[in-house]
Amino acid sequence: MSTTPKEMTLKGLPASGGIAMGPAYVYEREEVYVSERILTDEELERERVLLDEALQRSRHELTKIISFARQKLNEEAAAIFEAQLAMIDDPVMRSALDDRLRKEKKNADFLIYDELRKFKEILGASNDTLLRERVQDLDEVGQRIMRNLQKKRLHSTVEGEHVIIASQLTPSDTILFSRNDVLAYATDLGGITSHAAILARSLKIPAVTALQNGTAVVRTGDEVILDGQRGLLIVNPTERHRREYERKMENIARFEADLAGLGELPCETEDGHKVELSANAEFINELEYVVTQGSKGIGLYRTEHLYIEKGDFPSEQEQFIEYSEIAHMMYPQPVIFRTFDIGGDKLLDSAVAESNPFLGWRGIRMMLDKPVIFRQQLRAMLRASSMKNIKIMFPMISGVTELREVLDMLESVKEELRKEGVPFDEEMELGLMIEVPSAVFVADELAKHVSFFSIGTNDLVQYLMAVDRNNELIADLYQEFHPAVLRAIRSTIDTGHANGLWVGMCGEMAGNPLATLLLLGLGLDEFSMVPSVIPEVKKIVRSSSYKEARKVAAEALRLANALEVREYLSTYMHERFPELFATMVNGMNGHDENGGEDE
Amino acid sequence: MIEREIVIKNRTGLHTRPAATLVKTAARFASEFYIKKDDFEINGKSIIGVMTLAAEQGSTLRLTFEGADEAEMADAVTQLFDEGFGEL
Repeated sequence: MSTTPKEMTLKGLPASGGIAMGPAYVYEREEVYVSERILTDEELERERVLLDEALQRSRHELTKIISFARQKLNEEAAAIFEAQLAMIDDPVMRSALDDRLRKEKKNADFLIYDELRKFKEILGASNDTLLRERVQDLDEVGQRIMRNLQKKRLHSTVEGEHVIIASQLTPSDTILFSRNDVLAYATDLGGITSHAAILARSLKIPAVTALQNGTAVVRTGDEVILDGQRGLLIVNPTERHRREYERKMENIARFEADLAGLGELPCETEDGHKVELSANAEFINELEYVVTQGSKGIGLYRTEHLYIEKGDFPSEQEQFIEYSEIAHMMYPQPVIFRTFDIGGDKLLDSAVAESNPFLGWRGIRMMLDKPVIFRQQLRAMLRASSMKNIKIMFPMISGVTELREVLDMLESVKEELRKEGVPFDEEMELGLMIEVPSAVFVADELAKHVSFFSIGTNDLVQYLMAVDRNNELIADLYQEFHPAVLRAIRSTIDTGHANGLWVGMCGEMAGNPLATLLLLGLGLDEFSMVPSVIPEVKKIVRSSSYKEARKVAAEALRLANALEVREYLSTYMHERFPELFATMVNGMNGHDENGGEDE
Repeated sequence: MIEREIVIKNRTGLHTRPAATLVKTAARFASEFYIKKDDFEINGKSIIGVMTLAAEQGSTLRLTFEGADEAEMADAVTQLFDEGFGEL
């Protein structure tokens, strides 16, 4: 308060996207404390009445919160409090309380505290993060009843616009704050699946959790910036940071205004044909953005960056932590993890010099030669799958022998985990990338072993056309609209469908708006792309019919060469969606050609 | 007494929302209702009990109903599981 305060950055977990800037308010919730007493017979009679009144009052408070949540938020939010209401009326707890009141003659607030402690111990010992976090719900219910028994009033009204800094927030705190002018929340404890975090996302209030020491460092009135995308709290920001974040906030506001409402809508044609739009990603930081873009999960999560950042293969535990965090952040949406695709242009430092790296030791070929490392990765992925929203896919599969070898290894890893009693998703879907041309021709054989295909157009095009797209002399021969490419895509989709698989695409073509109707008409089930183009692709799908898309696909497949296809699609799409393509000139050129490694 | 064996179909298992739906339905009946998973048995009318079961998708549960309206209760509860608590 005297001299210019020093800037300090605290790092936590991103719990709800968005950015906020303003004065901090350090919130200390009034905890209810209980002490144990033996009651006289007279007091005991009164205690029974007081308990009934406290339960009734707690029910009443929760009913009000439920109706608020239902009107202002959604069913998911309301269900959190419905469950709390059911806890108040829990017959097992009630009869235990009545029993103990009669036998032990102790004060009711102590008995509630003691009963809940037992359940909290069971839940807290669980391996399941979701269950462990339910301890907070039990705590909140207990606090509510005990507070009502002691007739203390809840105080959580904060005047003016503030960024709330608390050690922990309960779901009700979050809701009550939302009625005030809260800019954002930051908590020392809590995970990204805690109910308070879920509510913050529903309320579209930026939030960061797991800061560890926020309440110790920040004082009420300090100027702060909360970055819900990156999980940062910047205390006493410098002028430079302040300006940088003001610009970011303006950009976010403009972008959101543009595509407001689109994110929540299903990706469905006018005649009811549904497809899924998901995102390609490789960093945890991207995920909040992915969610706000209206993605149905992650269609391709690249794991190579773990290797590239470390300069060596990461341990099973390092991988497990990252994969679990991603699964939690995206839950209940699915995440498709691709096993290490190293080699080709993503070279190992120690790699032997290959004269033809793209035709060399890369992807699954390298992993099958490094069984120890591959098994570690498979173990980490399986261990992270207990919430059942993970799928695994394998890159560079060229035929059935390779696939069998991979699946045998996976099976033996699963067996190992079963023996150790480590839980994982037994029904996890497996898939493979269709990117080596031979896989297109034996797709029917490959289909017998997996649940989905994901077409990797970047490599498929360069292998089909025998063109290194990084070689400028021949880069113009890299043509994603070449009839051979279209036929390979059609054949893969048809073969997949005939064998009961769903077929996705995770190459750049999936995010090229020129190709959207074509791919839709070919029957593609899932489009996975850089998150920034999801709204545009969604807009095209939602303003077309499946019938129209099938016509476009049939027409494109009749054409003799890539140039004709491109011209046909370009003319058609520009006429059909003039305003979209007018604003997308940038996006079209920016539809980058460098393998999507550094987006 | 009626016994039923069911497998949890919905992907989130008996987490917050399905657990609340289950005990709300059970509370409409007078009969006793117990859920057994592995060797762990809890009162099906207790949401805290249901939560501590930690029943995930794919878990097999043994349900027992006993009382005057046990048949109706068994049908109503089994239907919830069959329909995956509306999450299928």
